[in-house]
Amino acid sequence: MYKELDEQELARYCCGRDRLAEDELYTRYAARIYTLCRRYLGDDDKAKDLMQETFIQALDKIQTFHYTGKGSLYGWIRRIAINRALNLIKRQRWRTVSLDLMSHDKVQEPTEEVMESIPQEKLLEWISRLPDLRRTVFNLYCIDGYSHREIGEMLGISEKGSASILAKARKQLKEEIQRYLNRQR
Amino acid sequence: MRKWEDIFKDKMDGYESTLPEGSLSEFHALKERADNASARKHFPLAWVTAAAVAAGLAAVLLLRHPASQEDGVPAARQPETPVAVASETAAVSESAKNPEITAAPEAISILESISPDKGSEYRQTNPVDAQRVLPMEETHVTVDSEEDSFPNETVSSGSPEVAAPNKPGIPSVPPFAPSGKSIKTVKLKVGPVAGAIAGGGLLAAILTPAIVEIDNMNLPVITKPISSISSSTGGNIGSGIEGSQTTPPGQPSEPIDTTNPQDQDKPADVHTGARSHKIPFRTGLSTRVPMSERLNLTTGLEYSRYESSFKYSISGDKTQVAHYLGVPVRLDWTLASSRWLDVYVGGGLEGDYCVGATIAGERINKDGFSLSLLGVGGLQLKLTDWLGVYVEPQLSYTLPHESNVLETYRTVHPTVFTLSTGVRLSLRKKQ
Repeated sequence: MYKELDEQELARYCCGRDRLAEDELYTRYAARIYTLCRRYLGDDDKAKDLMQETFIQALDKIQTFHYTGKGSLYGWIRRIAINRALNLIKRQRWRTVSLDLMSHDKVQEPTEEVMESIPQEKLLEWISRLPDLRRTVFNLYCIDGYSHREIGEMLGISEKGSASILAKARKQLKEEIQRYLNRQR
Repeated sequence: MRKWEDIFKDKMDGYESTLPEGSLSEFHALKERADNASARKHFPLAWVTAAAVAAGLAAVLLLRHPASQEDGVPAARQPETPVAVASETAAVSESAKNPEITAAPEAISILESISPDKGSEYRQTNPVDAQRVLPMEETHVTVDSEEDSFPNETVSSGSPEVAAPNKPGIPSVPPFAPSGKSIKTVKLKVGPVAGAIAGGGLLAAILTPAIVEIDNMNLPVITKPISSISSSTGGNIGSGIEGSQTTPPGQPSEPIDTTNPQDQDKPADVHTGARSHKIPFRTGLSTRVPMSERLNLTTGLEYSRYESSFKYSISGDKTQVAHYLGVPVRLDWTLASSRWLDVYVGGGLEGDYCVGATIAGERINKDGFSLSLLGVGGLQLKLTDWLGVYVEPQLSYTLPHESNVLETYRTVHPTVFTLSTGVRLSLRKKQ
């Protein structure tokens, strides 16, 4: 019965502390939120903990959710997860610093066909390998659609700094893709 | 044609990772714990109100002034009932017949109030009882009425013939008099830095475990071993003369007093000048606190052991062992970092304190506090996110200080190159 509920009704049932509705909410969105957490934290165990905390907070604050259309409930939970991930990253202050190799070779842009052939787990793995700041900026800009100004405000860096970090993240990912393709040949 | 990043985004957006096993049950457990924790926070308002009222009443009771003389409200014992009085007087009469039975003072008063003759008779036969000092509150026993009596009235009764405390043989009992002091509540404040003070105290306790004990001992002062044989008149040094005595450890040998014929044959055990210093052993626990992306504060606790050997003329080689505890404070700059390895350079200071020194097993006076300048370069292998093993080539220079009385490796070689290894904890803020 709960599987057929739309987001608005599901949220309403969760407001009433319906245990089965809460389970349905978890079952429906946990995998995607877990993927998001893995993207941001780069560590599976931490991502799992973050996912659990996200759902607990979401159910605790479910009364504050306002349905605005299809996908708004997932978007609301996703926003909670991103905020918690950013808080975690900012709090731990242990950022890996990568010593950039002095490579001036221009890396080829991967083609559409190449990108479609790469498994999603591989993409996730390459994102995890990025240093903390590059990973965060790449996720926020390229995947979650935030602007450099918004990223700067969230992370306490300048817009220019955000753009510079994004460029380095792109370069590192392109190199990973290139290495993967070379191994495949 | 789509950009590779857009394809990247589309692939990631729709991707659902496989959840770890047991996620749902773990979520249930966490949810239940969170719900219980949240329920405990919400106390019923009535209980809070009741607690506040009780606390207010307690404060009022504690802080209010006790009754003063001006108030005229002393503690007064309620009058005895006739039955009770009769039973007490009977008891007193019985005790009057039997001197071994002692009656309560108030009973005596009651008896006197009812039957002054018997009361005074009892007092005459039992002077000890009569002189018993009445407790303060019992000086106001009333029999006839419940009216309050002023505290300066000692024994109150309806009969003027009742013996007053100022009569001979009966000690005067001071009337109840309030002290005039109010009871002040004591507020115990726990300062917000109590934790820091406790932590600092713990560190001080670790660093100076035997200071009090050793400082209280009258230890002989040892200076640097005498490098030349002390001159002595008469006597053969080192010839194994019967009755020769070795100078106590830590004591520089003294010239033989030739005026005393008995000392002529005792040679001095003096340092021959030969010495050797072993490379110190050092180990410790280190912790790193990230201050920014590349800058880290490294500190910890280090133990060092300095072993030296001094040759004496009679007793031969004596081994001096000194133990030091030090706290380094350093700023490290991360040059490069990866998932498993960090490369860094750093510089700082280390404070050392000698916690114990012995020579040939005997305790001797030890060095005081000393300061060293540090420069390091290091590699750290990250075992986990918070635990790592490091290898650190380190250059240190020990600043000379007048409190350093021992001759050790570092007094001879103040600039030391060491290769430190150890375990390092990386502290992070709690999430």
